[in-house]
Amino acid sequence: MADRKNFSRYNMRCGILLHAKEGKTRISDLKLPELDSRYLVLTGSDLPGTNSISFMGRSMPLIAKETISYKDQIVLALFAPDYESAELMMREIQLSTEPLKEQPEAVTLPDSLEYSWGEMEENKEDKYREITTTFNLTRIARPNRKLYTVTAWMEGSNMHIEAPSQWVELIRDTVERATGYPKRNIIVHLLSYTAKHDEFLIEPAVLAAIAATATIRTGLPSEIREECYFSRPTVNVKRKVLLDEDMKPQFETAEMTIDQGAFAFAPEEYQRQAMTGLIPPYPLKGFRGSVKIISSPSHPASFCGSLGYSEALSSTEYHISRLAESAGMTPNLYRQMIEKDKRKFTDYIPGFDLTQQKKCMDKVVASSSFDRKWSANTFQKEDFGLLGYLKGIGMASGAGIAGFSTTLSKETGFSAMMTFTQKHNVTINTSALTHQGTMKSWKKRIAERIIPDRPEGVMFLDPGPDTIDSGPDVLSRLVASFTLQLESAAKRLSVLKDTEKLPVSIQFDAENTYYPCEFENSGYGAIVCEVVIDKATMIPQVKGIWASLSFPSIMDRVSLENSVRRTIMMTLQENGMSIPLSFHIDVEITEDGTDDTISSIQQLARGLTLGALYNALHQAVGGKADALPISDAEINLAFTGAEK
Amino acid sequence: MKIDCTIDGKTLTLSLNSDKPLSLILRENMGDDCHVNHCNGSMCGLCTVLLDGKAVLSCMVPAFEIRGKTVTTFDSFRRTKNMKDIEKAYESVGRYPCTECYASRSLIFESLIDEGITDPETILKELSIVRCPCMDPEDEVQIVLKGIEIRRKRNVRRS
Amino acid sequence: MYEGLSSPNIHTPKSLSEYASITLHYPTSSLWAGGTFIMSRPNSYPSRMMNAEIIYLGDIEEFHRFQRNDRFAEFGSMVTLDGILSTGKTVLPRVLIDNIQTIGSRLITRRATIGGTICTKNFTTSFPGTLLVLDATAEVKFIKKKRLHSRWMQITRLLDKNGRIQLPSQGVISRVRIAFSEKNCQYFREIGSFMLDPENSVSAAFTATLDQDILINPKIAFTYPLHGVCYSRDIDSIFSSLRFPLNDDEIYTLESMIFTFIESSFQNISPLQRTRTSGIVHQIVDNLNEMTLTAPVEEASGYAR
Repeated sequence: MADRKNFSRYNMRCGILLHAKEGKTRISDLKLPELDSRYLVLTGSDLPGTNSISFMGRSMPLIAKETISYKDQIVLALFAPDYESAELMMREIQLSTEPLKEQPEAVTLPDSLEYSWGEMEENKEDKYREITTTFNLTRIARPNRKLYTVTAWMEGSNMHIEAPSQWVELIRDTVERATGYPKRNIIVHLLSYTAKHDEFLIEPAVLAAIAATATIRTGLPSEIREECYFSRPTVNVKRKVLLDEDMKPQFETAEMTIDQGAFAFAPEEYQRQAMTGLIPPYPLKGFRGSVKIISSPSHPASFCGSLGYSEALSSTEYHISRLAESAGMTPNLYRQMIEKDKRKFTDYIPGFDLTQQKKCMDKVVASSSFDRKWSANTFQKEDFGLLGYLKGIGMASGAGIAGFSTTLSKETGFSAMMTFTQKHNVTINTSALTHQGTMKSWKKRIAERIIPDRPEGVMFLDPGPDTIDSGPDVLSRLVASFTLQLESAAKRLSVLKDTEKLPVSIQFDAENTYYPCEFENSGYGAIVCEVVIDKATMIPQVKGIWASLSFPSIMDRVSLENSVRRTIMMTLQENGMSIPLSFHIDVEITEDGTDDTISSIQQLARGLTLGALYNALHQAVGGKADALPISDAEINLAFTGAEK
Repeated sequence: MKIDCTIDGKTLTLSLNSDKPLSLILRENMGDDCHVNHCNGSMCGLCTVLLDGKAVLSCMVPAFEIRGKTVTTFDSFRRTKNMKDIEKAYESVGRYPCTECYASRSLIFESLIDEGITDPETILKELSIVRCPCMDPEDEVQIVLKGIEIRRKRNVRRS
Repeated sequence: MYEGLSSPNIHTPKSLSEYASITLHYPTSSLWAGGTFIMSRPNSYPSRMMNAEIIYLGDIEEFHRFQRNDRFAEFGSMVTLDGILSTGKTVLPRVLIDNIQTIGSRLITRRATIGGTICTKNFTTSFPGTLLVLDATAEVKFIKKKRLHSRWMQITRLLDKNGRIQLPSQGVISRVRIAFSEKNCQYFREIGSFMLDPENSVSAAFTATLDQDILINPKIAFTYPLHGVCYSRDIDSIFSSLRFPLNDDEIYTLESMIFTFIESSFQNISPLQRTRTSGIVHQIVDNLNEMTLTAPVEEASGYAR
């Protein structure tokens, strides 16, 4: 990898961005102060190429031109000799907007995704007991106050970009489209990063295109400084279930609506992932599921550590707990009553054995005294008046998935190439060179299969014009799917190297394809969460978390456990929970020794934590505050509103 | 304004705006944008450095206050024996801060270990400034206690 | 040097006379104590407002002094909160110690100074309320007729009608004197973060001597960060007239009287601040009830928390 050029800061341009304060508006006036030649302003019309970023077939403008689609959309970029001057000058720029009278240009959204089995029956003569539940996740949209920089500079005929990125090829594509600079001459230097919410997926590419344009215009290296941004979509799930006299579900409809904001990225894939989580684990005579994507004038929200699976899984877990509540049983006992040993096979997830999942559930139920606490809280709640008991415990369990669906894998064709050279070394051509730790583990695993005891003989080719696009580093696909694909390719190559003339190469898909399902189940888990709301402060606090997870294979137990804990803690705090000093977390991880795909820890742990937290909060505050994230002010409003 | 100070062992004379926050000095003038954040005063806690050996939020320290002082960032601290003690404590407890807050947390751990603070409440209050939610309170206390133990053993061996 | 941004001049007076002459020379200069407030404001840097003159108070030796005798402790205004804790943790009133400890990390308390926490304009910390119930006094130095004058003032007298600290123009607090309290009921609670969530946070400081079932010399102050300190002798009198333990009806009456006063002072406290204020009042009364019922007849010792 080429080193970053060490240019002086006195010889570069520093850029900051002006963001819109309101969405769904039109720019009526943009007043710029008098700027000398050391300053550069870039608006939507100043880009030499296309003012748009294209992500898996969907696109959005890099800089708003006339219409502002969402709050915080980039309106202009200002470059100055230093950040201080840029900041001060930016404060003198006056942006006036007016509300849009007509509807903005409609974003093309996919049709609602429907999936069903069985014939739905009407509830005639009240043969069944009907229960409806609603699950709401409101938008989380904020910068996480972490600054990062994207730098562009020219060297000869090459345009160099230095940025943190979860998809290097997206940067090259976007810079090419925006500047017209040939892709072969765009070299990306990857800065190390930690993406908690896939925040380095799309925005660095936008910034790179703007910085590259500034570099072309000024002839000087240009840098943009920005706070990373993440946004979780608004999710609403409505379910209606018909239960027989034994309180066993018979027919169910589930409608999930996702507001992806002003522009939808990978909405079809979102629908598939969400549908996978929406399908309940218990048997039903009839099921109708639908996942609908809508848009609104807010920040585009697609990937946020998950692509809908976590949210849908947590909604299903919330639903099961409500059914248990109606049946007057603890969720654990109710599940034992309604769930069979094996799940139903569907187009989205195979009919896997639930034994491992149930084992996880048994462990957390026992260690947290879940049944006792759940029953005690329920009884106490009935005795308390308006304020409720303010204590709750909730549980969620489920299986993990990882990476993209079979359909998307077929459409995108992300791949990599492995070669056994004449010097008996192995070279891999892939754009997935994001983390040193992962690459070290890959080298070891590949070497074991082709050149045992010689991991130094496995080499990843430096990124260059001929690098093969292996797709974005999201949904743990590089750890989960790509590792298995590398191993499988290594196995095949170990046979070919003895039969074919060297050098011998094979090109392989970066993603697993799971015919005939969209996803493969991998990894199981159960989480119990206990919350308490302080009566005097209305602060929701998490008292404890008990988690039990089971994975097919464990590469590094310490890292895995740290990763699970981080995901749980992050999910709790993101959803408004406060962590008291007495907080206790108990995580147990087992290895089931199967050859299954490794699951996305983030997606699974996040979904289960969300589900358990939602259930616990429901028990603590009832239906009064029925959305996550929740704040102390909302809890207070729910109670004082009820009092009025 | 000319400011004489020592940053990571280097004696420097910097020409700076007198009220420029240390966090921005480290990012822009010293090129350390990996370990020092600048959150514009929202108290993210990710800009911790040692100022004359004591942990401070560098976004709260203006340039004129570092005159004649010694600033130690994680960039140089990570190569010290004290950091090795903290790494051993991480390893022993089996918990690590995430890469985002690794530098800040490690420097605050150092400050606590150096002072030998064992009271859990004080430890957690000190660490509460880092708003990254990647660690739970129990582990933070364990790391400090383990770090103190490791440091003590090392000091005994040395003496 | 940066375009359009001249670096502020930093003056570092070493003594009060030097401070006075600088203030006379640059009457519009800004005072810089610990900088925790200035540096945590959005857009604090770069700021055109700060381009003038800054007087850094950290080098004035007199402002760092700490004195104590058997009746009171006296702190220079540049003594940090952490410094107060380390020098007077065992002797200072519990309510003050609790207030400092509530602030949290020593990364903040090591920089925040007692003077800065009292007289930060446009932002209220919980400190003035606590000092008020402790009958603390502050020495204010101010320039009048080109000369430096000083006056000891009660913290109550520094509050304007809106509950905000008002100093004479070009005035600075040089020392704060805190009497060692012998009151056996001391309570401090801060709910929410004054810096991060000022709309919803509230703090209360309460001191009194509980003698059998009545309170002698009670003082209570509520602080709402965006509004100010809410203190009234009327509320203190109400507390004096109570006989503990209180029953639910009496608590309700007390609460409504307190709210009547708070709402007459600050119209727009948020619903959550209201709930939290109510929670604090209940906690104070619960503690007092408990103390009344459990304390030996001859003496009610300890403090309420």
